[in-house]
Amino acid sequence: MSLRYGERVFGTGVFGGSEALEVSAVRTIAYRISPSVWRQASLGYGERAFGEGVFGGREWVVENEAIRITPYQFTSVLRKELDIPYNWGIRVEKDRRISYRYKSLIPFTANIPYRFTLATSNIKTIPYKYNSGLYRDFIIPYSYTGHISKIASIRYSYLSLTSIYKGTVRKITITATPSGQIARIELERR
Amino acid sequence: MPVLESDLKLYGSLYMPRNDTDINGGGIDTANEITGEIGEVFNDLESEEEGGPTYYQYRKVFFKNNSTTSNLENAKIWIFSDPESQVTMALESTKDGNDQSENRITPPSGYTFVEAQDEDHALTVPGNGHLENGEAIGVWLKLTLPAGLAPKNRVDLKLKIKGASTE
Repeated sequence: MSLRYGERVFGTGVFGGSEALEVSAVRTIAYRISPSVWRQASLGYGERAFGEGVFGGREWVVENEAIRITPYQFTSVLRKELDIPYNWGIRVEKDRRISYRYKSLIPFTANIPYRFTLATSNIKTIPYKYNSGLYRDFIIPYSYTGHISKIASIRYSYLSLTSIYKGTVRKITITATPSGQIARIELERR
Repeated sequence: MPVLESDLKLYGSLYMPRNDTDINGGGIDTANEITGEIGEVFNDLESEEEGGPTYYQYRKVFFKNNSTTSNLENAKIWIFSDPESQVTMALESTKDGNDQSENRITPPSGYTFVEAQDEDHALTVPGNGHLENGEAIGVWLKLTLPAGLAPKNRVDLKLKIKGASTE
């Protein structure tokens, strides 16, 4: 049998059979890993997000005790703003969205306990104390540089949050100084 | 026309709940092509605090031969890239299958998950690697998330399918 140039000997392939063309495809599935301290909790009216107080700790004058959905995050990102719906006012159920910000979590790597100071934007400081029976232990999960998640037991308390509930509080900032081991919760009036 | 690279697409399954309770997996959802967006397949992943339990999540995706004329022979699938070494896989025993698991944290019954991290360890598509045009094969993925991991904004898991197209 004589074949012309390009003719198939057997089948349709050059060397017989059908020609198979190799084909491949790579497809990507992307995902994200959150640190363990990333939580989104659904809290009912009156439930506390951190500790017993609205913002943690024990409230001596309970006028504001509503926290609902509270997404929060501790990461090595130094500043993070999140909305937290809450209520305030004396038995007035009124929702407000506030921006919640953690700033500088690095100091939490140092020794505990930390001292928390509550203040409004008009520089009014809410006193607190511990070692005198007013404190309360609770747990704050956090991350620090290097994205390493840890849990620290932080002891703090405060006397009263009365005054800060009488304004339009929209922003809470928690800061902590690297060396002073003093954490600060700041409530800003607007 | 042979099967083209663009004919081999990855799709989600009908049930990919964003909770740990609803049915997971099922048939192919061709309206849900997996294109590499974060969270399309695995989501809500939290590495527990160090010393805590390992978290597992199971998802089912499909490789489909969208060619209208040609089949794929000797088709095999493997994990082309798994940068965190967190994923193992298993192929559904039948094409265009509907297997499901109780929820996304419960493994589908009857499957053995393997690493299949390179072509030498690739899993052959059931039926001697034959993937007819229009057919899809279910790929179960198991993601293992140990406790104490650092967060990652993006991890790209890559699956590869390879075969020979018939004209």
